Amino acid sequence: MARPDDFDIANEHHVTPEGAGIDEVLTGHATTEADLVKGSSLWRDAWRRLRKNRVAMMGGFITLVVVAISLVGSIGLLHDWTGAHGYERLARLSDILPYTFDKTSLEETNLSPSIHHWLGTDVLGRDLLVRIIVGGTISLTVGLVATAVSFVIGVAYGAIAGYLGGRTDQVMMRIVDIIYSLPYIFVVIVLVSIFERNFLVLFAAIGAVSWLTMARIVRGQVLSLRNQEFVEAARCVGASRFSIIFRHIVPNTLGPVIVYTTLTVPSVMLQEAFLSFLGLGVPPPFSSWGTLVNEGVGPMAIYPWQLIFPALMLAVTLLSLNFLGDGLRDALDPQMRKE
Amino acid sequence: MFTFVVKRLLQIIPLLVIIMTLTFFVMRLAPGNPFANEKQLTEVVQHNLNRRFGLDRPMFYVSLKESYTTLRPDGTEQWQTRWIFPGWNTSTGTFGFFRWNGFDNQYNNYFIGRSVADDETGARMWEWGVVGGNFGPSTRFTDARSVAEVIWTGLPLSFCLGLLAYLLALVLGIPIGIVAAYRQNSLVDYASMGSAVFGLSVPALVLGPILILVLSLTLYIFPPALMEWWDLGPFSVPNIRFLVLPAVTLSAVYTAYIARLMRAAMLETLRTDYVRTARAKGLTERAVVLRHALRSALLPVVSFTGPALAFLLAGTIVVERIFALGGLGQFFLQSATNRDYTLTLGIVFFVSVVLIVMNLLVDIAYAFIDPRIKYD
Repeated sequence: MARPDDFDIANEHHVTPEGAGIDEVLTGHATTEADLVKGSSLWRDAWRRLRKNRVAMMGGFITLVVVAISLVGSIGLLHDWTGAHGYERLARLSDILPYTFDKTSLEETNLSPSIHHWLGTDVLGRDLLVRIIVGGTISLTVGLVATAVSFVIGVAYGAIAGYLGGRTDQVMMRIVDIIYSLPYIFVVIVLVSIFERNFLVLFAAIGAVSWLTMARIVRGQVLSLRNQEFVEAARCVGASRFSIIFRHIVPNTLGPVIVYTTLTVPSVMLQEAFLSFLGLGVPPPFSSWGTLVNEGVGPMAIYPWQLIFPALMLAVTLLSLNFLGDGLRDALDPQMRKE
Repeated sequence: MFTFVVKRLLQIIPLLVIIMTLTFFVMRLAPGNPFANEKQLTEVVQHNLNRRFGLDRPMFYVSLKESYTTLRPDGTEQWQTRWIFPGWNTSTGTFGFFRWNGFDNQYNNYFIGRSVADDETGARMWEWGVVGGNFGPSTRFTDARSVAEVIWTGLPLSFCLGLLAYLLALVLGIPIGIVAAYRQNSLVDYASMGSAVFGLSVPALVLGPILILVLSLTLYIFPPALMEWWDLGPFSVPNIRFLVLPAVTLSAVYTAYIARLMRAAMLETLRTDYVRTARAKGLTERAVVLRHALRSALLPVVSFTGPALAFLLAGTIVVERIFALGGLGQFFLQSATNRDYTLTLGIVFFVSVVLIVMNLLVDIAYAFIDPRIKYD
């Protein structure tokens, strides 16, 4: 833990996604000190391996850049800061950038990229750069929130099924099988199209169908962990089922779960893009990359920039997320560790 | 094996009941109905339509009395009311004082059937519902097509597109995977796996328009969005040239996925003892890889074919939209946004059956490929 790099990844481990600090989790273990050493060395190994993987690091870097642009851009562009107390500087920023994602201008429709509009304008004269930045925020948010939904449901469901075992397990996994055999995209389309178009339905609909694989992975892990000594020790101490499952077992499944989560983010973003492309995604004045591609497909022969830029952003982001996820999987894969 | 197939076939029935019931209630509980925003309908017509389909009544209500009809001596019907006897009565959808219209008026009518009066003679006739393969009329198509007809219109195109994309994915993906595994850590391996990530990440809605932009609008090789059928009829075949771009767009994801699966499985198989034995026997590399290793390495690919179908269906909706093809996906999208209850349910039913049967076929194919797998 001496070198700064290693220290970083150790800290990353301490802030686990579902909010339960790893310290808290580890003190719940029977063998605290030994596990701490072993745990941090796993993450140190993973980090070293990940750093060697140039493609994955590139992917991570691009992802960070996209996230940063979306965040910074959205703070300045999504909100109208002019009236807000204490944000005079930001208000000046939005004066300098006179375009907002929903400001239409009939004199500036379908302009090609220029010094004023770096990526051109769309059919209603809205600045494409601003719309892409705002779209990026929305796409990333949907990706993260829906992944979080699927993470919470999947981990809880899989862990409970795996730990309780027996008939409960069978029934719960049967339900997963049934949902697996549903034509899920059709269900999502029905859900999204019949309710009013808002973000909440979108998050819920996508998240609700993407937790199945997570549940299966977690269950498999829990099945192999539930008979180990530390669980028995916890049981002897008199820990409740709930705390055994969520404080002792679940933290030990985090490796594969985190890998799968990173691979879920791009697939969820893809689904959001699908839905937005079909006109079922984010509600109108907002833009997501899917909607922008959808709007750009029509006039692509005349105004190709309306298609190319959002499509490029979507593809590059998904690509780098996938490379990062693959790299993480290689880095954390226990089978690789043995070799 | 036989019992396994029969068991699985029997499982389809409750599965379909669950799927259809869920879809039905979700749709029915959502605001709006198929006739709500039909501008050209007069109020009377709208009222009658709502009444005909039971859409003017709430789904669930509490009632102490129920109405029923008796026949007068002259043959006309008389409506009367009576107190409900609290208790369970499935035929009228009653439990205590709690009644659900969804069950008596819509659910049962739609799924099981209803008795209709003949226009001319007035004689009551039984008309089967979904159980008898009757999905009713589409509530949106103004030419009063039945759901079955609409599905039949869109199916050939979606089927051809899906099949073509699927074959393309297999033909490309499997060899790429084998070569990449055989030459692990070579340039070929890195190149093909890198492009596989590309295939997985670049979605159809990006790939499709870009292919159109480059190959048809700039280089004029393939037509962008046009369907030409060799013979317009129920068994007509589309001109394959017009399906090349859509099929390539659709197949990119599976090609990538199959190549990756194939490579991973092949790597594992090539390290097993029996492959070493085969090599030791002096078999050619070709025979070792293609005859001994390939067979068991194919298993993950085969098991992917079930979920692949789901991907395919999802992808078809987008690809049909990009290339302006009027397939099943487009009809489904329209029906869902238009609240065309019967058409949505019909397509969901159709797709579910296809999906479930495909999953069953995958399980059966398992047993043929891997003789170690036995079903009881």
